[in-house]
Amino acid sequence: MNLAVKAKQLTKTYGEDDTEVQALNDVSFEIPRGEFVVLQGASGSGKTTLLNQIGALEPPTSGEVESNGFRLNGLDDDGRTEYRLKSVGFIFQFYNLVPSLTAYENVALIAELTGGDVEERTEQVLHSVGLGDRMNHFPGQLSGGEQQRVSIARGLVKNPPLMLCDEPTGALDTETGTQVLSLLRDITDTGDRTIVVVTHNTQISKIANRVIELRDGEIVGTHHNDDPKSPDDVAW
Amino acid sequence: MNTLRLKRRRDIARQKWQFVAVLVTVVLGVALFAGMFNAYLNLGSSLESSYARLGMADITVTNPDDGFVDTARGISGVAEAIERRQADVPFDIGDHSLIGRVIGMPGDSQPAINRVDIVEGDYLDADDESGVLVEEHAAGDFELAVGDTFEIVGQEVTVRGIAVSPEYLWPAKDRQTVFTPPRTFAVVFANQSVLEDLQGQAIEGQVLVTYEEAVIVEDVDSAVESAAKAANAADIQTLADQPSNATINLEIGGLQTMAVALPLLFLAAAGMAIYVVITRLVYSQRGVIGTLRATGFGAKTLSRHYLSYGVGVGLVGAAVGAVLGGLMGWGMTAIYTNVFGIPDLVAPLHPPTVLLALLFGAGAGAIAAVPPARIVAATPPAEAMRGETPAQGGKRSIFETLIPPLRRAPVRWRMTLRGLGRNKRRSLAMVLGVILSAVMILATAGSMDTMLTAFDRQFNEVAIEDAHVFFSVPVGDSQVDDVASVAGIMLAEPVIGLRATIRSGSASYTTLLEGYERGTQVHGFASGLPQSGVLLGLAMQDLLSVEIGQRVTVEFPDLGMEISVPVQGFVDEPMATLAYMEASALVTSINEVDDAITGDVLALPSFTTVKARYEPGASGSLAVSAIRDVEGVAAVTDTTELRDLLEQFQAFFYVFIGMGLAFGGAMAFALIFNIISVNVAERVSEFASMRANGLTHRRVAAMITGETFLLTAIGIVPGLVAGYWAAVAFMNSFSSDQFPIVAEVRPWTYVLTALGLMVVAGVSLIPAVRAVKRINVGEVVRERAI
Repeated sequence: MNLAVKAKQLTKTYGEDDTEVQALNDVSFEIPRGEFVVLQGASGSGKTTLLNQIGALEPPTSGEVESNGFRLNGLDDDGRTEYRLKSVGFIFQFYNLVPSLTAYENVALIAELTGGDVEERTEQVLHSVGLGDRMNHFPGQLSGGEQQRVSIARGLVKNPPLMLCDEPTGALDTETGTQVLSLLRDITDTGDRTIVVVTHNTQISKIANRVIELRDGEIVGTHHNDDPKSPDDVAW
Repeated sequence: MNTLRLKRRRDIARQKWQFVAVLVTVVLGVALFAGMFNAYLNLGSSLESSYARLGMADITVTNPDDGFVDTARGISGVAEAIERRQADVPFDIGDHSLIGRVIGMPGDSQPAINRVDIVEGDYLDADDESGVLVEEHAAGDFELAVGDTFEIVGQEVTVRGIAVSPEYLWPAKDRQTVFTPPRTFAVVFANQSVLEDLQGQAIEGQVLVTYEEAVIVEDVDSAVESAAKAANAADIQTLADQPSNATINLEIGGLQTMAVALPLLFLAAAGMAIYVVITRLVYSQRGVIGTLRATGFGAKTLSRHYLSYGVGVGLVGAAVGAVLGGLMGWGMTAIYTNVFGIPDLVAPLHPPTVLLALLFGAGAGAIAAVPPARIVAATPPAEAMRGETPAQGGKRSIFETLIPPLRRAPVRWRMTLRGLGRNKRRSLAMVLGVILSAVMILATAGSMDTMLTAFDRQFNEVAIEDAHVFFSVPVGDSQVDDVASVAGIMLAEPVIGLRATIRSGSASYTTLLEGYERGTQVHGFASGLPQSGVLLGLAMQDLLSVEIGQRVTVEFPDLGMEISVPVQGFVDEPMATLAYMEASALVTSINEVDDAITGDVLALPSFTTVKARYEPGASGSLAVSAIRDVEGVAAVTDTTELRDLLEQFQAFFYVFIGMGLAFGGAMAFALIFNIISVNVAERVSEFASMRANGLTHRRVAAMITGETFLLTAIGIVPGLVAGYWAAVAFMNSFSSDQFPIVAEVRPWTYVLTALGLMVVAGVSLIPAVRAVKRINVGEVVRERAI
């Protein structure tokens, strides 16, 4: 199987002694390339921690993670940054766009890191998320859904094989959330790209190819959707 | 309420370094105010105490008609009047020949006015005519101790004691020679009878007058001056004009200016830092504020809570600053009284100053905390609890508008440029902080530049003679030739020096008029010495309200006559305000009025001296030694020793500029550090997001660095301009007709100030850059996740 992510006996502990929290406990899993995967669980189940491990935002306490040819365990800060630059696009619940940059510039800021024809790639990706006519607007002039689409474009512009999304619809209303999910689903369906979405929303799981369920830092279930629903068919 | 206090304490603990920086700035501002203002008050008190104890004369009248002392005693407001004599005569002290001053004192007891403190040895003895008291500065310069001997007009005298005189706390020879070079002047107190024995010397009779307490000094001054003029006095000198007193008061006045200006700079910087830190706190606690409002806390209660952060830090800083300032005031008073040799040290702590310092500190904190406290009062609870913040608009930077190609620059550059406009008040605070720091640095550095430039001009362009020769016989061509023929002497010229009162209308100015040869090479005149008329020191232009071409009256009290001459120009000389004429024109003008005053009269040694210049590379000490052997020479001063004085002043000013740089740098650091820290803290999520998307921490740090340096650079430009004007204002507070300095800031000082501020900005950045590196991207993302 062609894998996008492989994790083995992954453990992550925060704090020490009395304040120690076991956020992940001996977690092992595999994510095939090209799948739309949902990490699902209640608050504190460890899903964001697991996403951070896959995205090399923080090192594991023990265990191994491999992603797109990178062994993440031995990487120093520069190595992890390079991995994220080449392999990962992040999408956050609160967008975290730079307010002083336009939609175009927020995306171009990342595009410049990878070189090539920045202008062409930036415009293309903004068109692909439906913001071709809003690219010169500043974040303060965009709706929440539009800002999240800029955030998606920012993740996509590097053309990463892996997109990691942390509650991408958490701050959006249902209709806008559906639009964003459709966009993410399209990204998977039209390319050889893997998307991992963290959510506590069980409805979103219905559009995924694979759902990994977490509870108290452990994987309590993994199931495969043979027939994922269209985002338009789910509501919350 | 107690819980709010606990919250405040913990909030401050969480941002302890920002609050420490603010606290340090408040402490410095308050300490400077309390210290310098106390020192200013104490220095004045110490001077008054010394004057009162030693009976310093309120006015001194020179050469009035006989009987004036009785006239003076009868003037309303006069407490006492006495007579004494003094003479400027040749001294030979070791290898040094100079013109020193002998002041007559009663041999049996101290005089009623202008007494002296005996710091070593004994007071005069009426039976010991050869025993003299040497003024403390002269004793130090010539290393004279009790029992040593030296010669006055060829007569050996013995040092009976070393004395501190209220007239020579600052050892100025006269108002035109405030900076009297060491070893070129000495003051000696001798029995009155000794003065009577100085045959052939120009002896002045003086009447010293003191006033009763609680009189209006100006009124009594005016009455005594009128009487003195009526008694044909050659010179009248009020206490305000007394050279030593005027110099010290000029310094005290400068201290007063600094005591207000410097603390204001610091408190303004502290206020801006407090504003930045508390505003950031309020925005970061919007959710908490909303919740507290929702649970029943009133808007006023919460406003007061956040206001208390500013008042608290201001009060604590002011309390610490007041204590430090009290100590500093005592220390500064001790240093100043020591520098000026003021014998009495009065250094109490002035409660009103301490109270004012506390008010200033707390006030700065309170005023700075008002805007964020108002934000608290206006916070809508529901919106705040939802975590929504008002939409932050974005727009292109002014740089991109002004320089269109910047719109095509890499986005990270544009982001840096736009970072300046993201929080305009904060950026403004930083720019103002840089401006204030530049002002502080340039005000001090500029004063050093001004002094050094003034010294350089005075000694290399104006007073270009190397030796000044005083004769005991009339000075004619043969005396000048004798000096000129000494080995190592390149040229020598006679110079006429006459005490003169220049009058124009009702205004007058007493100074020295010097007559130089045509094409003189012993004094520098930028536009040459005119063949007729008079050149006046620049300060006289305003003092006498005269312009070029106008005629002025020049009164010579020692000749008992006056001439009328046109003003041919003004000379900008940094160390004195004198008048100049071409020697033959001076003689002609005098002869036209009184043909009895012949060249022989003007050739008297009290009027004519010789100035000489050394051959390049010649030894000054050998030349002076050889001149001393010329027949008729009474004294020689090596004016190149003026450089020694210059070096002493350089050392003093380096300390001064060092303090200015340290304080200015500390102020800039405190403010820039706080603003950058707040900037980074506020943008943690944004930076974490960039880091997650592949930006290295170095690149993020480079953006912060770029913003900081850009803002610093923006502040530096107006800062240098404001700093120049501050230096001008600062130096004007020290300028007088005695020392008519013009502020001058050298180009390198601007460059070094700008570089210094950039370095401070760079150092202030270090914690912020480390904070960027330490941002735990995973933690930030996790904490924002549901």
